Amino acid sequence: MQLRALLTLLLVPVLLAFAETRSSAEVTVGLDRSTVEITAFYNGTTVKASGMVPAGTEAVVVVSGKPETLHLKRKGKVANLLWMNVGDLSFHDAPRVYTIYTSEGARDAAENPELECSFPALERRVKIEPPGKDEHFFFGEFLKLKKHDKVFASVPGAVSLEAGEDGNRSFETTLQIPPRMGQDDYTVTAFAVDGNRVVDRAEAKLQVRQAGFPASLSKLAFGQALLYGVLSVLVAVAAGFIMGAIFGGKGGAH
Amino acid sequence: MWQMYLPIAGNSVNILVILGLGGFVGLLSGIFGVGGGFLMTPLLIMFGIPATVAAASDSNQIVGASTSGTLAHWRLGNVDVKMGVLLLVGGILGGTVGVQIIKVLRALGNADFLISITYVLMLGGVGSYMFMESLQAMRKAKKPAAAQTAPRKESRYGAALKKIPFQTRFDKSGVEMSMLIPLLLGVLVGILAAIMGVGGGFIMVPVMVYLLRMPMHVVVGTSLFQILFTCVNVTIMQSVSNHTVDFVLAVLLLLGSTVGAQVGTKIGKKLHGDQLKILLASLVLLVCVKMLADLLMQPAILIAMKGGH
Repeated sequence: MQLRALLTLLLVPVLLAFAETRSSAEVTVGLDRSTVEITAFYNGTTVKASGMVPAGTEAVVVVSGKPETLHLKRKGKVANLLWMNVGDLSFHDAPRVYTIYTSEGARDAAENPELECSFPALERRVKIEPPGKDEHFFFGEFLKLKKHDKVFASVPGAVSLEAGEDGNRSFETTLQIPPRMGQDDYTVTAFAVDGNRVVDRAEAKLQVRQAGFPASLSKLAFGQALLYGVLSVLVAVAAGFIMGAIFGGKGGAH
Repeated sequence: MWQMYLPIAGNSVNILVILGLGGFVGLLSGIFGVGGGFLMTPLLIMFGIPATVAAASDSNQIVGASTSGTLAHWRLGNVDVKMGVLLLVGGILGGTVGVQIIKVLRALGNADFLISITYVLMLGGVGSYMFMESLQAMRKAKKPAAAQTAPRKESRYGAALKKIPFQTRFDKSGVEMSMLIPLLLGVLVGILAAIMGVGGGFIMVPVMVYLLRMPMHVVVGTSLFQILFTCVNVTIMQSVSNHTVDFVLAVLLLLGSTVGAQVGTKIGKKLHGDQLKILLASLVLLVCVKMLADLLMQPAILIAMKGGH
């Protein structure tokens, strides 16, 4: 009993000291708004992210979407001549969105396999089916596809750092929200990076949601699909008739 | 500015680009009586619309363009309703069969290879034949200035057609034949269209010109009439089963295409049947070359979303 009490007495200051260093070296991240609304004339937007990282570390900010399973077609050469779809590929646990913003001192962070926030680390988390020796190649093609849609990206040097209080550094960056980044919940994670090591991290939530006209239309399309289909047809037919009447009237009898 | 968000496609587009695209494709359907999906779908994909949404919204747009075009052709007396209905009924039957065939083909594997090859060969064959035939006809027409349409001599094909039961007269087309012929040809086109994943205007037009021997202007009007109903069906089916019709996209497209179809009809009216045929043949050959190029060149990215051709 006495021994245990002694140990506790000895340990408490150690733990307290640890907690203190933690709190003084905490990573924080905040967004200038937590919700982005998609309205009729929406064409993507930007969100400002800012926060603190401990002294001596660099900041990496990652916007990531929910992991999903993606079914894709594999293209290959048939008869050594023609390029076409030759099979199916499934990507499991692939985030919908993955954009990496780094500070100047961590320009290579997006490609550094040691860092969990990088694309190579993401490659280890994504499972490709059917598995095979070409997995690395197909993940590369997957990255190309996603980067083409602007939902995957790396922006080295986009995070600005400044010396803040207690020797900590404050960071700030502008996150690009492309129109392809649809209605969903996203996570913005700030990583404090020291060389090949993530020291600490913090998260903020970002919600993108449809509002107004796009929201009502989506609701109708998914909730009352038959009505939506019939209405679409009726509007098209009406447009055809109206144009017919306008042109028919102007052109006179043929 | 000038950007509009497409809630189903999940992307935004430039309004002016889409209006222009609709106008151009509408023009083609007014002139040639084709839906234009073969052109529109790849262009929409290029502008960042998912393939499945592009195809479905395009069929919604074609409903507008073909209503507009059919109406314009109706005024000119270019729509053979009897023929159109028979082809349509056949087309729907054929489409149903075609969907089953494609399922079997997919199960056997290599379906995409077969489809692409059929597509290229078909377009190449039909395009070349039409081109040569109308070129010859135009040359002939130049020599005897009076004779515009040389009387067709009674071939063995024509004689055989006369023997089939249910003979009837198609007034607008000025032909007499069994009701079974357009019905069966409709089935055939429906099967091909379903397998290739296209509207079928491209196959239907040559079929009407060469196998049903209808005058070119009536072919265009009747084809549009038929396409209208096919696309109404596709739009509703896609909305219900796949939720891939983007109404905003369709409206933007049809604002352009309904105007285009009216202008196209006026242009078409000024052209002779053979001139129309040769232009359509060139268009068909162009699409054929483009498809062949796609097949021969290595794609930039070796994986793709499902739903494209």
